[in-house]
Amino acid sequence: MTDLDPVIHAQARLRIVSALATLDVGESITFPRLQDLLAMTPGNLSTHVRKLEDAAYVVVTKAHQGRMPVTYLELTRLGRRAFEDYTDQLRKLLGGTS
Amino acid sequence: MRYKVGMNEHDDDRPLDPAAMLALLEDQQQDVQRKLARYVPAILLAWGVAWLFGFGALWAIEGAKPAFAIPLPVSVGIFVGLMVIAVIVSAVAGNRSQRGIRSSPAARFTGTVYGITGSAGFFAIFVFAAALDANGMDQQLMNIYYPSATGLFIGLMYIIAGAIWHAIPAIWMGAWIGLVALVAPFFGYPTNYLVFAVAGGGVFLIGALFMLAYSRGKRAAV
Repeated sequence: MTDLDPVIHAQARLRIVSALATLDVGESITFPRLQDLLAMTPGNLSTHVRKLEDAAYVVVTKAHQGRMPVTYLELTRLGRRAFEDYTDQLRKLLGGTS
Repeated sequence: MRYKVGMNEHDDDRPLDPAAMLALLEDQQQDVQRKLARYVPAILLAWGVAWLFGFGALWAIEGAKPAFAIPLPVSVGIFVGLMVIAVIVSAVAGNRSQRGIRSSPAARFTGTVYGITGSAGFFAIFVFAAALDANGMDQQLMNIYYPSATGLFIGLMYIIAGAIWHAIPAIWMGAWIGLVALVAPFFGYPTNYLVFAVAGGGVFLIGALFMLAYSRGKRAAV
């Protein structure tokens, strides 16, 4: 049995990755909207996003809406795959067949 | 959500046991989907009211005589006004629910084609009516043609939306609206408008209640 991915296997990061995985491939979400959906503080969210970014699971892009800078977050292909593997591993650990 | 914010902000870097982590994962995904669906009840409510009272007003031009009758310009005004309000509510609520979310090029393409098909379809129904009129169709028949042609088209658009965005209730609603549009003409004018008001408006109102229960967190098979 391989160990569970430590990047995802923490409550806050699991919540972030789970939320991002509900979006379609290629869809991204702004930092404030994600924060609103997760009900996390900005500091807490950015701390964990940075760890996910370091693992290349999340890509952060900066864009402009008029003159306002907007930060978009998106699960990378690696991140989505890691999330799927993590979910499969959890289910196997719990005796599921998936 | 089992996870409450602020309660364990210092613990959230730690894992729970596997069962609790799986529950957290599933709860989180359901919670996001519910929050994204939060504005759907308002849209369905607006259309339910528009159909119930809009088609109801058209029916009341002649349908309730001699008890009462709403003058034609007034009922057409009510109908158009309620439809315009429903369009505005849909646009505003749709925007609110999608705020902060940038869709993929593929999703944008699907959305654009769907949107243009909707507008083009309504325009085509109008052009077809003009063609029927040019061929001498009885004006009374317009009261049969317009609601059923648009109803069939709306029903199909709901079914296609359900297929594209995997929303099973939208498929049922679309099928029901199409059925209403097919059955209503057999009641004849003006009763056909009453069928649209009650059976058509009713399904939007039921849908609004269903989606309200869903977005409030009651488990529903969506």
